[in-house]
Amino acid sequence: MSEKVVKKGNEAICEAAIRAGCRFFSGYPITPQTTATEYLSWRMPEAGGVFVQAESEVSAINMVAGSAMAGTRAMTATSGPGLSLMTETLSVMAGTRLPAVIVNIQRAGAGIGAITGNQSDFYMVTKTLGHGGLTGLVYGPESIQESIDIMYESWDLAEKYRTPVIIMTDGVMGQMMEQVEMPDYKEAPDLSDQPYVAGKRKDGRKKHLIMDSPYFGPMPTQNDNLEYNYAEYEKVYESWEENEVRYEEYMMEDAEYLIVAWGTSARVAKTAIRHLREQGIKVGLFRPITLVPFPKKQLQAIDKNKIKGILTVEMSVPSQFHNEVVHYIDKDIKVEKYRRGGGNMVLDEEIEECVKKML
Amino acid sequence: MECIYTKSKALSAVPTSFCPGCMHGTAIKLIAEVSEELGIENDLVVVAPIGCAVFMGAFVEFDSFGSPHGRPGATGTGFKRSNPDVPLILYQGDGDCASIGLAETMHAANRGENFTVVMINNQVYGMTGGQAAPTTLPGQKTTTSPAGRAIEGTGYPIRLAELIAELKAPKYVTRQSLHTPKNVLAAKKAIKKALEIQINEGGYSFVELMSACPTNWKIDPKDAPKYMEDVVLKEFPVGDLKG
Repeated sequence: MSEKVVKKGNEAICEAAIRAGCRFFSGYPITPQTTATEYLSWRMPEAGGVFVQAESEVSAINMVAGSAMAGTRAMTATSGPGLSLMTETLSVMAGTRLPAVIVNIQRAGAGIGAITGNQSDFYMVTKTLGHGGLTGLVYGPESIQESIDIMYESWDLAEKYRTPVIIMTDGVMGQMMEQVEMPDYKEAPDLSDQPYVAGKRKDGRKKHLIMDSPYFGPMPTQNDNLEYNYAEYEKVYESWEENEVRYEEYMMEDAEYLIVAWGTSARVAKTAIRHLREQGIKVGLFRPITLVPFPKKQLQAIDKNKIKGILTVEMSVPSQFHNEVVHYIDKDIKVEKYRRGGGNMVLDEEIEECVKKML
Repeated sequence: MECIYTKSKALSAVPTSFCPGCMHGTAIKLIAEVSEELGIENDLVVVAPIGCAVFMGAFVEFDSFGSPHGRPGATGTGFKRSNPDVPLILYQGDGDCASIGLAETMHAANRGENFTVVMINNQVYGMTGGQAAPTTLPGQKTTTSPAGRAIEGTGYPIRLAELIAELKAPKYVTRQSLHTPKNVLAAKKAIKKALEIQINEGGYSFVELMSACPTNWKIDPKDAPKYMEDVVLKEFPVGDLKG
């Protein structure tokens, strides 16, 4: 039975992971992620799973990879600097096509930056996972409930496509509390026959030689097989564009102006939109939920005869999401940006001002 | 006719690709034979990370997985904690285990992870063409220490087995060598003991195996064992350090 509870974002997304069948967590303390690691330090063993506090984020993600190769639903959670350390293994996991879930509870800026919420890891996770140009599914929920719902589904998707899944929350969502509905417990599938799983060999099964680079295939040389297999991976990524794109259209039906935003920024924008609507201004929101695959077609389809102007809202300076959105918008539609960086929140009243300037 | 010796079933039909005089092949053969003697040839899983150790997966019939350079201590931890009944060997080189992966190696040992590390110590980075490793001997010439390893600036060879033996959790820590038949037999006994501990009582074991890399040492393979006896083993004495 699902249940209603009041929970902090970091704890809620971890609880959803447990209910989704996750039985391995490894993490390293980093603000604003620490409450996730603290929660799972007792909750994971209680649920019969394994919790390991790793010596570094490098180790944490490799423990997750090892657990995934044992056929377990495994995850880690971190924030920007930790995610930077994990990138080599994210590349390895994308190459091995290893299902696992990584939660990035974003903080601000480069280097140490600031410990408050931000959306400045957008490029880092959406362009490629580490070196090599491979990718994974990336989600940007706007609320604690949505992060629970995405987390609950994430291994099903990770296993279906054999890919790492990255869920991008932020310090705001991680620290705040909301009433949420927690889903029922789900049984993890038996993955022991999967080619990326070692051990527990049933009689007669041939050995699994698990490598991060697909050297084997129909081609005569290693390089040719790498090229061939990566092209096969690309077909999987392209299938996501058809089948896995998620987005929300909020008050868009009669809208003359649009805000395009994701995650926490989108949620703040909804407040601004409600205020603007009260003042008779017809404004709506287009919100990408999947950052990979990005809702390109939907953005391309925005009609210049209907929409007079677009405002992007994001918590990142320099702009990242804005540049991505502009790329797909009809060139006849004017696109403005409003962003806050350095760990500052976007504010609904400032969004309202920006929209009014466009009228 | 009675069969008194044959190739282990745990070795694949593929001939190894190691250089003349390299002792990786011997180490892999010993692991294969021990797995059969313990009846775990269908159960054992090996981690074959970056370096010449990576080739192991192709030459054995065990399930195996790779690891980013230096990270077997972590991938092995994640795997074994989720699969506690599966015997596991981390087959690593000295660069992997004692340089880039030192943190993962030491922390896995310190946690007392229930797996066996077999570290091949040949004092160089073999796969990349013989660069200096943390285990390179003082004065030893490599492609990145062309005048010989200088103590000032690069320090002394790291004796990893001794470092690990200082920790409380590890059950069995030993250094053996592969340069004479007598040493090979002792090395085999050590691998067997390590796996028996892992399977029967549980606990961390570390087996360092001294090995030759004649190609990168620029030594004739037939002279390598004598060089190991006269020079290398003076810096890296063989024997049990713990357990």
